[in-house]
Amino acid sequence: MGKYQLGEFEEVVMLTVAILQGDAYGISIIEEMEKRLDRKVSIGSLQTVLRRLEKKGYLKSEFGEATAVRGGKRKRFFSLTQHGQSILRETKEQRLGLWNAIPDFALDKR
Amino acid sequence: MSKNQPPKLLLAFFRWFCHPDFVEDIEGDLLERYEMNALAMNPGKANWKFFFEVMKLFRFELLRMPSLEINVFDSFQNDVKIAARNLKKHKTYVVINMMGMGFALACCLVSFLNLDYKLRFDEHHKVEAADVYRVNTERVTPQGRENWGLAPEALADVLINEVPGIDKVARLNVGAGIVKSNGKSFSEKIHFADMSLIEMFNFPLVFGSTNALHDKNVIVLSEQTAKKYFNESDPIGKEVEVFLGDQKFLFTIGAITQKVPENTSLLFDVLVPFTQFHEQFVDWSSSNQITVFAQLDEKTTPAQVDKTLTGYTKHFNEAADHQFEARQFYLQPFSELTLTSDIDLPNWVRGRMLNRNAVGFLVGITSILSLLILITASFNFTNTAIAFSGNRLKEIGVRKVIGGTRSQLIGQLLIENVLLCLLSVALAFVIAHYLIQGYNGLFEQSLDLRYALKPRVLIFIIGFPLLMGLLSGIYPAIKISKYQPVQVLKGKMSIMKMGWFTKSLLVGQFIVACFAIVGAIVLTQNAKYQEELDFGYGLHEIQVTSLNDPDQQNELIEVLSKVPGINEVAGSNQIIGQSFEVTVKTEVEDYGLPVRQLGVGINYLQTIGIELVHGRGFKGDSDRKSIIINQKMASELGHNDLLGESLIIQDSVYTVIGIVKNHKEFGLTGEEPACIFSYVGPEQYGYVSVEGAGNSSETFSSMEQIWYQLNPNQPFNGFAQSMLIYKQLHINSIIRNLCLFLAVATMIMSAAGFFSIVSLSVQKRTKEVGIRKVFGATISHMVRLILKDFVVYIFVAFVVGSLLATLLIEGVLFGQFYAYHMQLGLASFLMALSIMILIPGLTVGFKVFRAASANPVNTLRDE
Repeated sequence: MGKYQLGEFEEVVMLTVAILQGDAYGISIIEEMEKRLDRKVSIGSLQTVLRRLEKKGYLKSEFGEATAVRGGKRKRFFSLTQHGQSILRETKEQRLGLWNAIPDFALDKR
Repeated sequence: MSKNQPPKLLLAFFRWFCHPDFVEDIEGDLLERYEMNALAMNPGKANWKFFFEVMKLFRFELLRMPSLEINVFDSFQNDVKIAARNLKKHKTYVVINMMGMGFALACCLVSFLNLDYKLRFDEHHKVEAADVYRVNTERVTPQGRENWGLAPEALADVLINEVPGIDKVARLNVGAGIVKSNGKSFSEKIHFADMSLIEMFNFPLVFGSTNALHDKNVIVLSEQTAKKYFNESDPIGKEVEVFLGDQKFLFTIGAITQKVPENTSLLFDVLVPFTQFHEQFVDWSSSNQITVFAQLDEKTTPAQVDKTLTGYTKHFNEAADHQFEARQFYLQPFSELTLTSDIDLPNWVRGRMLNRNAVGFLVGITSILSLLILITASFNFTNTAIAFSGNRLKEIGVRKVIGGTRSQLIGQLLIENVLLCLLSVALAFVIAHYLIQGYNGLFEQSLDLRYALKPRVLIFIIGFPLLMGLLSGIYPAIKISKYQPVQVLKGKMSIMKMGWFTKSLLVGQFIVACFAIVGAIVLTQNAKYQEELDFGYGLHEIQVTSLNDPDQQNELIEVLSKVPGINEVAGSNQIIGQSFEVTVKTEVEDYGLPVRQLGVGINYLQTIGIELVHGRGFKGDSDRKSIIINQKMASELGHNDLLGESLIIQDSVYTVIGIVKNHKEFGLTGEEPACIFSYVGPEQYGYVSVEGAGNSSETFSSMEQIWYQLNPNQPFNGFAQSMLIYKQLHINSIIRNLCLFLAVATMIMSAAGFFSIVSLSVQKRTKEVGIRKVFGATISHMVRLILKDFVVYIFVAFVVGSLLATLLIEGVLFGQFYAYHMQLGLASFLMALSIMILIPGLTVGFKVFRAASANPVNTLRDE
């Protein structure tokens, strides 16, 4: 593999989708990211990344039921595809490999 | 649901740009966010957040891509086809609109051409003459300080010999003379100039070259003049004779200049070397004032030259007894000349020998008029479009049901309008062709429709109607496309109501029509009044010829006085209308009384019909120190018996021998002035005036015949005395014709508009009229019912229109221009009112009567 490298934001989004487990739609993803990572995310930047990842086949989506809130508009729920999961796992292993390769004295241990 | 709603406009914007696949859930996200924010913070801040969120969503990945499934061109083609079919179906509509629009566009075309012609004055010299300046004088006269477009001849010598930084100098003077070539003689305006003028302004030459122009005996002719003298052949090297006064000169033709556009300051036919007629060196005491052009070199600024030149005012002011004091000499860029060349332009520079660019009045009046007409036409366009929309309700309903969106409908309706406008353009060209002929005749202009084929004019001609079509079409298009298909197809909603907009459009065009009608009526009456006005002398009966040479008069007067049909003949130095101002004192110490003076010969006063009240007329050379005064002068001097009194004029003493009645020296524009007539002998005659019994053209032609019998080689310069105040006499009729034209045009157009609106109203009220009639209303009742509103509109328009007309005529034309004019009377307004009621009444009368007298059975029966 390794043909497509996930960007940092892309990786975070995919991880958050994985965390939310079937409850991952636009606003819940943003809130989760804001809570855990303490960073501001605009709908625009999130949605762009979501669509891009879906196009690449890492994410899939389906509409939920319409409700009275949010102007009666349906939510679009995202979840990881098989391909997405393996990409995510591969990324994690690459990172871990890198961490393990660091000699002990190179980083201050706290 | 939250009480707070996000800004609708932003949401609509989002829906518009976002890819349709993503719209729903992203919009949901946006709303959810907004609702949360609205709870947590004040609504203003939430709105701002919303705004930023929407803006951040505007990303390439999320944008709606133009759909390629519907072929844009095909649908456009379809729209055009349907528009053409619709227009074919509604011929009345097309004719009403095309006539109105075509006419209005034609007016705009003419006034645009006129404007273009004036604004591009001197343009073809712009590049070559960028560094050319004219030397002006700021001078002080008894009337005050003024800018004067001439400079003393001696200053030109200074420029040539003493001022540094000057490349070329060209002196220019204008005179009249007689040119004789091929045995024919022509009376010509002759320009005396240094030949550097040709190079300075880079006049293109058809024949000859600038090198040949340094000879003193070389003449330059314009292309047209050369054709007039020699027909087609190359005339270089041929000889012509030029007579100036009693001198004769022989010239060789050195060059022929190409025809230049008429909108130019330097327009000459015959150009002869300046040095031939002017002394090489003139000193400051010479009173010759000429036009001087100077071309500066690159390093010199006009301000430097101004400074040097102004030092020479001292020489001029000290040299001799000039009529004015020069305050300053300064350079004016050639490109600015045209902007200061006419009396109605700001910073007017007087005293020019160049061609004038009369801008203010002509351009102003034609632009305003054509805009007024165009506005009326657009009103009409909008009104008829709305009125006729009743015919196509079903069409719109069906289109909407099948799935036509509102924007498609608007597009369709607009395309129809634009198509109509383009048709009007074609018609406009035909109308403009005739309009230009009329215009040129009216104002002695030389506009040409062929000029309209230049790119910038074409852009205007095509672009402007398109814009008009869009502007006047957008309102009806939006209104019509608003109909709900359910109501329309069920027949519940018949025709749209007449809104305030439509009403004000109608009133607007009646105001313009009323304005024009009042103007036309008042000015027609005024023309009649001024025609019958007593000028104090026989303005219309007198024919005049100017003399090239006083020696011609003896024989001429003798022969003319024997011609049957000619009652009186007399010579004079000036003729009426050419008087100049002098100061008259009764005693040497007196401060003096400014009066007008005319130098006249024996019998002149009797010839032109100024009546003698006391004393006697001039008898001959013994009267050289005698003077005749008019009654105004007498009353200003305050004596009763002035005969035999002495008056001092310019240090000479004259004796009053007669008192005559007043005459209107300034024509219609000025009050009768105090006037004195002094005696001049035959050797000073400049004009011979003739009073004929028969009609004036007969008198004129017999005068012309006799002139040529006596002076076969001299051109005849005769004219009617009334020519001197031609402009005053005719400005009234020019404006009257314009008003008549505008009145007819706007009346036709507003009557057409009125017709369509009343038909609309009648259609709408068919059922109401039916029911009322069932309950016993009479026909006259019904007519009143239908027309009640419209009568009110006409009255409102009448009041506003007459007020406007009164303000303009009374305030500007009568107040500022004419001293003698008719008083405004109630009658002219009543006449205008009756026209205002009669014409629209006749137009709609039949329609209204038919509607009012319709059988209720027919109108009330359903289906």
